[in-house]
Amino acid sequence: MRYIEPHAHMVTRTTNDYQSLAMAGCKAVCEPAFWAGFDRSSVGGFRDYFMQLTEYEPRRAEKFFLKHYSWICINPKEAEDIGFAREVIALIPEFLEKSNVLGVGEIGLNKNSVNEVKIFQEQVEIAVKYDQLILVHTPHLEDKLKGTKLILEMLQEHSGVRPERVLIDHVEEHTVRMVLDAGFWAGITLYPESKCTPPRAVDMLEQYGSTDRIWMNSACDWGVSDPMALPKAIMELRKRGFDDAAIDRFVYRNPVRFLGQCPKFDLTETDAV
Amino acid sequence: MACVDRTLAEAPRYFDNKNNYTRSGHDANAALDGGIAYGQIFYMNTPPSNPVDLYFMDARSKLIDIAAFMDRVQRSGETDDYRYQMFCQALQGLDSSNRAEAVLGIFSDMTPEPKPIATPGPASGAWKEDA
Repeated sequence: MRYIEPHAHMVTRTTNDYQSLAMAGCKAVCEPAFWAGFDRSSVGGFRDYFMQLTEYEPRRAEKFFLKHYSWICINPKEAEDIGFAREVIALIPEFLEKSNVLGVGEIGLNKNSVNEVKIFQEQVEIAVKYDQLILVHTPHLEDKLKGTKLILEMLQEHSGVRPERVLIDHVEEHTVRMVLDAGFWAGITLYPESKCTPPRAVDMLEQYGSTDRIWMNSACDWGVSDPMALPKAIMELRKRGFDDAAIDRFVYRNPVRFLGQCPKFDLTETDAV
Repeated sequence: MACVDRTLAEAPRYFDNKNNYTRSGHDANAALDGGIAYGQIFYMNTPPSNPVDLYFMDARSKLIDIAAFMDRVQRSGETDDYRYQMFCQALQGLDSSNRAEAVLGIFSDMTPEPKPIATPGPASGAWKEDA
């Protein structure tokens, strides 16, 4: 069954994972900029990473008929050093010009600190200035509820932010409603331990799926995660009685509808494969 | 290159007026005329399976895992650990009508203001006031 993987950190995955995604029906994979598992020591480290996201990964994906898109930003975990973060932010406009870049992301909060808040706001400003889509990371575990509330407040206070062009990711049962009620898109991340299991994701889709502004992703990276999480969620949807059209909407058409707001997102070639 | 907005009204339509899925093959525009607006349909072609049939054994297994975890912590004498204390508090969320949301809320930081500085290390899964 066709689907979009709207959030995967493929720089951390093997080429075998690209093959598995393609064989499972994936048509495109979207890769937000994130924390590499360690703090980078220089702005040059970020430039190299952004080059990897915009030049090298698309070629790796292409070998398996997969379109590769990326998002550019400095992640909140490396935002505590404001001076350093601002040097990285200065790189962003250059990379927004790249043909596979969909917008600014995944910006957000990690530990809900004052400096994280400042850098989040500055990157929202960049996104608005350059008329970009925004992908937002919400914090982990006990920090998620507070972080999601802070993020929503900041986005709602900004007159230039259009909620239909912002996806707030990693929602769970205690945050999904407030995100959707505020008019934003919501992403459900399928993780084996933290975040959300396929049965819980389907619970949320049963309750909120009629809004259309919702998708699922694996957010697979170097941690405990599963690039095949979406095909497993598709199986869960089938078990719960959803038909092919409904499933197609959750895993393909909804992502296409959000991402398609950026004219660079084009699946014409892969649809023909 | 700046992204431009396309309104949701421009989204393709995929269903006819009898709620039938009309998209054929890869022709995204096959059902543009006379269709029902995208997103207005949310239905299942078969009744949902009984959730008890689907999930009872899995939930039973996880419940026993929880019981065994609590026994294990008790045997090791670590019941004072703040995470375990929060875990026991979170069990009270099972008395709520929105249990998953309630349990997640009990583990969460409910303070409203940003922290002065990011605390080191990963999130632990249970909020601690001085962490």
